[in-house]
Amino acid sequence: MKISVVLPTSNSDLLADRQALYAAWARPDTVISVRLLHKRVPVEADPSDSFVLPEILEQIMKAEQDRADAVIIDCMEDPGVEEGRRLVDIPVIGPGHAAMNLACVLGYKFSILYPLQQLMLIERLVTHHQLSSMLASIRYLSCGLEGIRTSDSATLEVLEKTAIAAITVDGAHVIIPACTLTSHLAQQLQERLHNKGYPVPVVDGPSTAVKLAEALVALGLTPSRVAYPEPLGVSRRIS
Amino acid sequence: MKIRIITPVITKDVLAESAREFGAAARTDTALSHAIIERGPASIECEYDEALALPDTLRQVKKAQAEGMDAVIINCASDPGLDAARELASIPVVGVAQAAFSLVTMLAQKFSVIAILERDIPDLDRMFRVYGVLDRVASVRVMNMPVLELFKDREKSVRAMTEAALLALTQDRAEAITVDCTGLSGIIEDIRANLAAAGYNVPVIDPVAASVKLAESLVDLRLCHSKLTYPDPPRKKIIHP
Repeated sequence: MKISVVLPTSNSDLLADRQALYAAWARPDTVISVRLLHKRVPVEADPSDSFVLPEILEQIMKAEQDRADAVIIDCMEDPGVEEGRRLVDIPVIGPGHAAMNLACVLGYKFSILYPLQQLMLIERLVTHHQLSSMLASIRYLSCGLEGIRTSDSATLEVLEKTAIAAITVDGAHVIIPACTLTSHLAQQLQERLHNKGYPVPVVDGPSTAVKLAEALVALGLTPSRVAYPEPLGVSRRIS
Repeated sequence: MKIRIITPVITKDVLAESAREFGAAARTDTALSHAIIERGPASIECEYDEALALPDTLRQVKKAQAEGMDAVIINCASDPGLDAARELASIPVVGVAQAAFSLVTMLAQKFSVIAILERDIPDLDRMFRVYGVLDRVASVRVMNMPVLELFKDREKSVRAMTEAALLALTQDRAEAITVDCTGLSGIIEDIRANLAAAGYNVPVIDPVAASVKLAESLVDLRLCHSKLTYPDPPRKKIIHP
């Protein structure tokens, strides 16, 4: 099967890294192909800004035209996921919701570790999916996005420290780092927490999204057309 | 990977059926094995049945882990013993109802559950709350057929389930359907086709298939349930029933 990953940026620097990261979790017979937004999108644009949305939707439709079996948006805020489901006939998956959903299966309450100070940007995803009763807390990762981009070891330290606070103070039983750029650190974080006596799962967005995509395609399941109706004429107008 | 399917009933006939159903959803490199219990009820239709099935079910979970399984699925739609099994085990234990509810929320905002008996409703309501999906439930619709009869009269089951699902879609604003019983995988596609023919292009979730995919995903992701939520049982003197 073919899974297309939309990177919600026009910056091509990370293309090879993201391709490798997603491919590492895919089954041997799953082909991952990563796509970027059109270069008219400024490289520093925030993927969850409204003006980026049409650009993401365009790539979702192009992925379907290129015969992808499923699409993943590489951003924990799931920009364009619900809107995209209305435009294509294949599963569109957001790693944010995928991770929260799996966290609910694994334990009583989850905490989200988030690298932006506007915690509202991720809290609204929790509220939208009606998962507030399963949320222990959202904590700010003090390294910020800049720290995540510059040092893995420092980021891992901050992830660990923040996760332990979420567990001991907020009562988290499951941890979700809510930035897809920390995906490669999730297993190490889980190991460190286990070694320090905190036996919690660390649920990672990108890897969870890959598994969900593979499962949906294998089972032939697509989003409900009653929940996500096709907008009349719009798909033709955009393409 | 190796997954053990534990069906918490004494009815040997279910073994062939569960091998077929779970096998159809599993990947080619997933090795499934199947177990039933030696002491307990012929089918699970109420809390009493469930309670009597639990001691042997937990023994089977322990055995599966000792035999090197990567994950266990409890094959009954009321997820009997799920919490206790997770306390006991350090491999993923998957409940088919939780797997189905979890999967359906990735495909629709609101879903309805087709239950077998009226008396299933309070337990379903409890599961919705515990699993955190209550706000996404449109309704529970009931077929009102005894479980063992369901498997015997296929046409009647398809008819009853289609009718219940159409009521959920037209009256309750459901956007997707899940079935609260295992052993019905064979008719899920018929239901989906019937709903599509009536103009409702909605997912119909088979809890069996959902549970296999959840188990495979957890093993692939090297994830297991939180041991803060499900700590090991404390050691003490127990006279086992």
